[in-house]
Amino acid sequence: MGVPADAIRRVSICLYEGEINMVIHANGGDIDVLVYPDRIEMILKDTGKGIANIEQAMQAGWSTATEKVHSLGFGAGMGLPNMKTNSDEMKIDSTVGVGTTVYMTVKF
Amino acid sequence: MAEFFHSVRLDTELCKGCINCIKRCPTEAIRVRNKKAVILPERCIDCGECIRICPHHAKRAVCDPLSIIGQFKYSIALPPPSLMAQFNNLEDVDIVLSALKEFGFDDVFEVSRAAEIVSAATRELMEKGELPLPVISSACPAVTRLIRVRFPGLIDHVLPLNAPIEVAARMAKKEAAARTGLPESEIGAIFISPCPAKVTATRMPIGIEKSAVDGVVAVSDVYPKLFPLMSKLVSEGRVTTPSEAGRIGISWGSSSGESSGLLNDSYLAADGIENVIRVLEDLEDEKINGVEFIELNACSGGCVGGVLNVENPYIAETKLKRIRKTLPISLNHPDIYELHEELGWDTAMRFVPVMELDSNMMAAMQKMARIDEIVDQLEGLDCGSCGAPSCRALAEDVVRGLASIEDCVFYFRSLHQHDKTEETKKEEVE
Repeated sequence: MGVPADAIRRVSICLYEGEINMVIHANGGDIDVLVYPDRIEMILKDTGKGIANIEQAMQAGWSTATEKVHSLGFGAGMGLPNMKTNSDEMKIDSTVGVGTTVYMTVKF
Repeated sequence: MAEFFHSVRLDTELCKGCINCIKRCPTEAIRVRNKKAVILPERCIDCGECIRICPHHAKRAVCDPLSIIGQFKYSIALPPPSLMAQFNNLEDVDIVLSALKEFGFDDVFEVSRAAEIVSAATRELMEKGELPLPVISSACPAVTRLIRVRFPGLIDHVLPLNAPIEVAARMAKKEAAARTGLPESEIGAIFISPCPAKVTATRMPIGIEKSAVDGVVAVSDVYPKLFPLMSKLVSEGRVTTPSEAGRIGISWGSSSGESSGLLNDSYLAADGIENVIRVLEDLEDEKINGVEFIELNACSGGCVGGVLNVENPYIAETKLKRIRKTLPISLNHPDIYELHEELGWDTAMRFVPVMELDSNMMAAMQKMARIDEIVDQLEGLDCGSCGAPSCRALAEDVVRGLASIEDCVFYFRSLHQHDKTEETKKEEVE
């Protein structure tokens, strides 16, 4: 299709991290991926517990994952920072008790 | 797009239209149409895999005939290091070089010599730190062609230096012109090739406008002529042409030879086209770290594995090791700035998007969706009976307008059976 390999790699990382977040914190959710000629937009929407302090959640190493999640090798607090690093634009809308929506864009 | 020259050709009389080659081709460049294989010229990288696999010997590498030597006032043989690995019990390269002269060449210029110069130049460029790491070798022409069509993101990593063959041809002609007073146009540099990719590389080079190599003959054509001459010269005590290359140069004949010439441990050497593809894919995904140089050879074992050789690649590698043992490290310590003309690329390597579905991404996305729909209608056996290497390749051909979904025998049969059941139903009603 002509999407650069580097963009595919970044999108894969963003979606992988986002997907793991939705599974461990929100019991899953929906992902929409929109492919445009110059960019890929990702919308990850869940109805989980929400993020109380987004700024804190964005810090590398910060995690509220349970012991069980840690024992499986996840929950290192690197998910959101990795998504931030690998996307060109990222926005988080979250309401505690209602859910979280993450918008990310990777440009070519 | 420019006209393509390919060394790898099909002998339609010998081709039975079987599917061996289409399944083997690393760029999916072959289809069977009307019971004969067809090579798609824009996709072929001349790796020679189809020559290796074809049980009917219908795939061939087109080289120049040995008579090309007579076309020049002064002819120079360019023997590659892998040629030295073709002979039993050879311990002295000088015998091969002398036999080439006895055969009719006016002079000999070892490609190993140029290889030592390319090694020195690569070391220098890497020390200066101006190349994006890891640097990918540009010596194997099948690999550079593969990168050009499939790995656009890696083009910047390809070492922008001419392969030893090209450097050898340029140096040899310059030296001969100075010695004989003949113009370079009357001097012929003839390469003795282990593979078809190098034939193509001299006709349609990457990085330069025109190759200085004037002809390419096959190792398998030269070998039977050379062999008796070698015994004759040895028995008559007439081995007179001394080798001018050391261990680094001759090592280029097998995989990891080029890398070891860099005197740097941070390298990776992969050989065999499938392994090469795996390394390039991992490199594209940034999975390879801590490596400064990547040597890739399309043939298993490196150049000793070329399809135009006569000896088994692994035996050849062992022979190369034996020859190497007694040699000094390197005999060529050039000032690479003086050799800039011989070594450097004039034009940058460019991506050739032959795999692209459409230059317009929206159209490409629609085509991709259509391909997925077609793939769902196919059995997924990848049997090759339609003439395409896989169900997905057939779907792609259908979308490109090059094939019909009814080329699939299973799809065709299901249509036919459907018709039949309709007919029987009708009959029953009547």
